Amino acid sequence: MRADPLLVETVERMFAENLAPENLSEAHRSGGAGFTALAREMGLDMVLVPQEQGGYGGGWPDAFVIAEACGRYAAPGALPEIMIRRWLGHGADRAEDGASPLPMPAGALLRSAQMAGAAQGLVERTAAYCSERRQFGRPIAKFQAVQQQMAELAGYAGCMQAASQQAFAAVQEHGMPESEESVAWLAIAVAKCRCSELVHPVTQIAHGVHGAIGFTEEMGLQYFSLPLWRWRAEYGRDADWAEAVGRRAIAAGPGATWAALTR
Amino acid sequence: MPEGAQSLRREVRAFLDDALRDVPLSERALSWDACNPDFSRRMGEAGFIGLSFPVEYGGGGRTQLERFVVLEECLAAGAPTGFHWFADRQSGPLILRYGSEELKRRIIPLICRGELCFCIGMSEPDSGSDLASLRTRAARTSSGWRVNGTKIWTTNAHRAHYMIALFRTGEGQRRNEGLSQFLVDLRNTPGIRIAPIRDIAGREHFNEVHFEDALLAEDALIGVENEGWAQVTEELALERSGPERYLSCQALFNELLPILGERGAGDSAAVAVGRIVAQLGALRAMSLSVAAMLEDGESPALEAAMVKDMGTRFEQSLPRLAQEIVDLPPDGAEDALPYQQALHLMTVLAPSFSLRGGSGEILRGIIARGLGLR
Repeated sequence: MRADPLLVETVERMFAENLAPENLSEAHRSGGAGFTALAREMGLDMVLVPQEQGGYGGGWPDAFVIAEACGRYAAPGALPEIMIRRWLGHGADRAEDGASPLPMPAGALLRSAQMAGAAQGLVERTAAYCSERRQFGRPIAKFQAVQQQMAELAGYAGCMQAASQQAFAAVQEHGMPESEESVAWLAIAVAKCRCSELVHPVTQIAHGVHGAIGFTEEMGLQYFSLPLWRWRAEYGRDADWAEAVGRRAIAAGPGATWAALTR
Repeated sequence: MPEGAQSLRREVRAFLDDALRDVPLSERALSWDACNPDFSRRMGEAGFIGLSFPVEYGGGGRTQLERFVVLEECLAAGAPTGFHWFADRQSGPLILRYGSEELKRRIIPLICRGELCFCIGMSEPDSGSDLASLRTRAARTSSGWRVNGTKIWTTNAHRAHYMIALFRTGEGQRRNEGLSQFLVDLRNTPGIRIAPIRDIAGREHFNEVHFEDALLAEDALIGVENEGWAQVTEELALERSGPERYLSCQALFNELLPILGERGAGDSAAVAVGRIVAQLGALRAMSLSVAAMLEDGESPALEAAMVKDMGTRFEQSLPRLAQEIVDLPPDGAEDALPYQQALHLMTVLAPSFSLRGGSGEILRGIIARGLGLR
């Protein structure tokens, strides 16, 4: 099942209108209440709720679209979490209570999409910046040393996107895992492990290419990098997921491990 | 995955269980680098070659995703697919797209039967990463083409029936203009000399191929004269995005896990193994998404470059990671543990992973161009 193209279009338009780089600090200053209210008005928090219960009746690939866009546009507020709590059947009051953690592994799944989005956001910001910034008489994007780093950055972001999307697709096909034995568990483990692991090189390159200006509040990279540094440790660090995956692989042997990866 | 793809997977696994029973580790470790004509013929008989080619030319008429399933199962099991690999992956699709009807009817069924070995004539002694600088020339004659020059690093040229070659046929304003692709019958064309080059592992798999007034027929030209560059770019998207770009070391991983199972693994070994599995799973997701784009008729050159760049770096890191996880040295002797033999082979072969099909620097240059930076 692919995401609903109409939803993709709606999300892109609404996010681009409300979260343009020049409006980002204003949107964050208000704690994101305005953006979240608008997203709720459009029913984006109800994407996983069945239609007969007043929801949008979408699937996990649709949820990926929203969570990824929240990362990529550095959306303020807690729309992704609210979306998951709505799926859990929580009413408005509980759904919007940001303090309580999400159940595992739904939280890990969600974070992988947000991280993949934020990494892609950094790719776009950094590519734009290095095409504008001139040194030695030309845009720094014209230097091979910068190009090679940008290619690496884009590859990592592409990897995070693919791993996370695969996990959402697995949950759509096989259901939210209830244990490590469940089919979709490994896909979530792969996504959270890889996305968390790649936060380091992604933020390193994005900040490195920006130089000092990227360390200023005004530039706004913190709307991507600060959440990335937080998210990589939430709902299991990469090492935690890797250890669980590794133990299972060693116990199961090569044939069963391959079979689990290709279910 | 759709049920059709998963039932095909079960068929392939059953076929491989049987067909690989007597294939030694040294061959399984090489996998798509190992040529075994008998094995390729069996794969052809089973209908696993040319799986996504049209039925009317002897193909399987199935999807790119289903083809992907066959490839990854072959690689994971270490099937020696080298004899038919290039034909199935890129030469067959190229001929189907640009070849004449007569050519398709003559060649494609033989590819599907696993009877034809192809090689790819791109690099030359002075043209490696800078492929557009190539100089081997095909000059028009009254009845066809006269070829002079040298190709190098041509994998399997000494075994192949045909080469798909990129020759200079004209001059353009840009260096990548004036290039054309040809189908060269390596076994029946006078004026072609093939000299194997021994690699650091002592194997002979790549070659120097000399063309000395070699005459090709008019219809040896594939596609459009002087438009070879665009065709090659499409072909390279097929060459760079497949599962062979991250599964070349699978035999090593397959031998590593049982050793850990027997000896027990500490926390750090478990974490390291888990990171390997996670990388494998994520690269597979990337490669699958390229297969989906190919299925939709796109030519995802940028995404393919990403798969190959990240995939080969992963493959190349495996021998080192394995040695961190288990304290057993590489050993190529036949009485050494299979794990040690695989480690030896992979350690020696790993440098080749990032040079075949485009170096990392070139791939990252393609990605940077895709980002609009060049």
